[in-house]
Amino acid sequence: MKWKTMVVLLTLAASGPVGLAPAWAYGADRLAVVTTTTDLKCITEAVGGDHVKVMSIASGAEDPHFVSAKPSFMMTAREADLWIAIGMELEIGWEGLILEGSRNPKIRKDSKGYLDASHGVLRLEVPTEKVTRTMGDVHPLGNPHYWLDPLNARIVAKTIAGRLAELDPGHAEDFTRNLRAFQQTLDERMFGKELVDEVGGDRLWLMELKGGLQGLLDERHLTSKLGGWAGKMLPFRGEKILTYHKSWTYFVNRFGLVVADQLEPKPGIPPSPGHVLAVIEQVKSGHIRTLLMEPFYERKAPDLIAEKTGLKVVVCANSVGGDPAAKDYFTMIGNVVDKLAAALKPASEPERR
Amino acid sequence: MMNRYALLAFLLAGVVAPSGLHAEPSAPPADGMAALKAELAELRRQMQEQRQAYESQIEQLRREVKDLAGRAAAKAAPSPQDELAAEIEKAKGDVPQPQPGLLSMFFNKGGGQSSVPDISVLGDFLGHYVADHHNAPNPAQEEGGKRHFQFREVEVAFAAPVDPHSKADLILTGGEDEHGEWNMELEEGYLTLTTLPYDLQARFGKFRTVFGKNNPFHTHAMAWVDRPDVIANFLGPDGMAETGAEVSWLVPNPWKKYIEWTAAFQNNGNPESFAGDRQDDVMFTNHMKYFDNLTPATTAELGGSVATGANGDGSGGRTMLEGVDFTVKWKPPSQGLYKALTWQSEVILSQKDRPDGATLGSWGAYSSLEYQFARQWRAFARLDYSEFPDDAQSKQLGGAVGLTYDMSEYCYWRLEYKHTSAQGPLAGQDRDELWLQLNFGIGPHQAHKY
Repeated sequence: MKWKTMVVLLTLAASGPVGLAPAWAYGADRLAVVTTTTDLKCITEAVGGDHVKVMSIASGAEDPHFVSAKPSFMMTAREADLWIAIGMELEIGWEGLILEGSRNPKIRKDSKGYLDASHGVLRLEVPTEKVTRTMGDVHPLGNPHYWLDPLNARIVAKTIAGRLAELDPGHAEDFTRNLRAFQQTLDERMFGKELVDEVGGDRLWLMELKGGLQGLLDERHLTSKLGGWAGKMLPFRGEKILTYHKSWTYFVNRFGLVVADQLEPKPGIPPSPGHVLAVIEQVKSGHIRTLLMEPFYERKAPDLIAEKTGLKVVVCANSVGGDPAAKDYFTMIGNVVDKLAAALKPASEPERR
Repeated sequence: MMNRYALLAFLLAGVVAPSGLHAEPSAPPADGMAALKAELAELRRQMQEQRQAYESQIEQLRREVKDLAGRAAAKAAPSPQDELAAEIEKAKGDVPQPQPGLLSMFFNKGGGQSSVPDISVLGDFLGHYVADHHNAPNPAQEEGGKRHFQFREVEVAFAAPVDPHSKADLILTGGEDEHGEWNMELEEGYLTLTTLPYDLQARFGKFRTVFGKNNPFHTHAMAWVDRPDVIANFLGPDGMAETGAEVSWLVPNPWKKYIEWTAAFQNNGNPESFAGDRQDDVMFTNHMKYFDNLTPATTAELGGSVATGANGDGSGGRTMLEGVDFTVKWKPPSQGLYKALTWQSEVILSQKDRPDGATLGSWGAYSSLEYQFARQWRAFARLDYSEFPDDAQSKQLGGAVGLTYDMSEYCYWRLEYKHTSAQGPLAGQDRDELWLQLNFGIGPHQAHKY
């Protein structure tokens, strides 16, 4: 019976390698963590240190909304101890397929091995009315690009450290120490080392959150000591910019910029000729000098607007690895700050250090 | 303070009283006065020392109390870290919450437990022009083109977890046939056990048979309007879906490659290759899938399938189907919104026992290339070759080209032209077809597998 022989052969072919399967390459003494994005990977590595081995599903170079749920990702997730997602439905199109396909009960959504990193972050653009598809790709739980706010990165790091400590309590002290180091570095990049040394990172963020940072600096005559990303962006507060997609909301909100409009007429809807014309008029009349966009979007419409208006197009990765300059979270944000500051700077003004 | 005055009064009394008791009416002698004064001076000095000692102690106590109070106050005040955490919590509370709609208690997926499954509805509308050519000697016998609109399919899908161990999918499909008759049927309805050990999953119910690459896909998820001829001829115009049980296994291997093995027993009710209406047994299917990343942008998938079951010819004969599928996809991550290429090919072979004891061998294949050249545009070309499981003499050779416009993620338009020529007994019966397809979906519909 030929068919029976084939079945036997196929079964043997399938089961043959089983006995050869070694222990999972992550290493038995390290937590195997899979993150949906490279930004989460970077933060997890910083907090987890030598006690974690982290892999990311998205590469950083692609639009995280539209990642293909390749079967190879299911193999990556198969033996993970912890799955960390951006959440807020950013990964709604592909996360479920990978989780289900991995057949890994440890990272099911109802288990301790699943972490939605958005729990705890400060959310923006949470719809207050019924969301329908006439609005485009509006996320009902709010804009999910929250990692572009350094304060949210700080919060996410703390959330991750807490979950790592739950899963690996023996190294909880290390995770806490690594968390403080990450936050310290983040604070110094945000405000400058001198100011952080004098005032303290927590105090600076507290005043920033209360809207009283400038008042504190004025009162204590510390404005000249404001450095880092905040210092570089300080001269451009209130500046209007364009973005391609509604993905920079958190960034511009933190650094005091204003998004005048997006090239997409609605989130996820490609720019139409009519909308591009309207944007051209808006740029001409609205003193808008800069467009901020990700490398994975087409340059056709932005270049046309730039040609018609003199607009500067700033292309920046919004995830780690999406640009050669974006090697980690700090350089990713720093790259955006540097490029944007250079574009917004009046031609006659020397570069601010 | 009162203690000090009391002490002074007592000492004075001690000095004065004895002298008063022994007072003489006459003035005291001069040396007595001097001694008394000296004694008083001594007393004053002692009192002064004691006073200084007491005041020193009081001052010390004051300092200690102040220090303790300062420490307690410091302990009660939050650290900047705690203050920041509290402020973040406060800021989170300031974020507006979504306003629940009237039906949110049933349909809101954002929070709380929904008592109703995900419900999605997909519509597939066709405009179809077909011209059959019989190559008849008399041109009058040539059939004219037929044009009609057809609501080919309405798919209503329900999906939800049943419990922590399983999930259910129910897909009802209604469609209009070429005569305008409407039929509604259960296309799929199955329970999946998701927490089985050893990387196993199992399905029970009616489901599309995991045979080859195209068959498991629903109509709306295909790259073309029609299924390839080989699928239509060997598995059915809508593919093969039967009731049964299936188990799949993610095969562990030292190379960490995706190898999935799927085996199923399903009713042999498929009319094209198996028993059809005379279904009285089950067919067994077996599928192996291997997937690998060739580069970060390129993937390859190789599949092998077998299916066997009684073919219902009344003589106990069986049909054996073998399939091989091969798919290569290219999608550069940084340009993935705008560029992608898929090359998909499949071959199916059939050996069907006939009542006379002979075995009829037949086969078919297709190869398709789809290229996305803009964010909303895809073009495809497909070559078909197919024999028939019951008639290996007849052959179809077809070619199709088409264009898809993705109006959004949830709606696309597609134009397809296909020419099919027949050989063998059907020779001369060529066909030209043109379709305009509109496909749209509402509600949360889970994406199909890669």
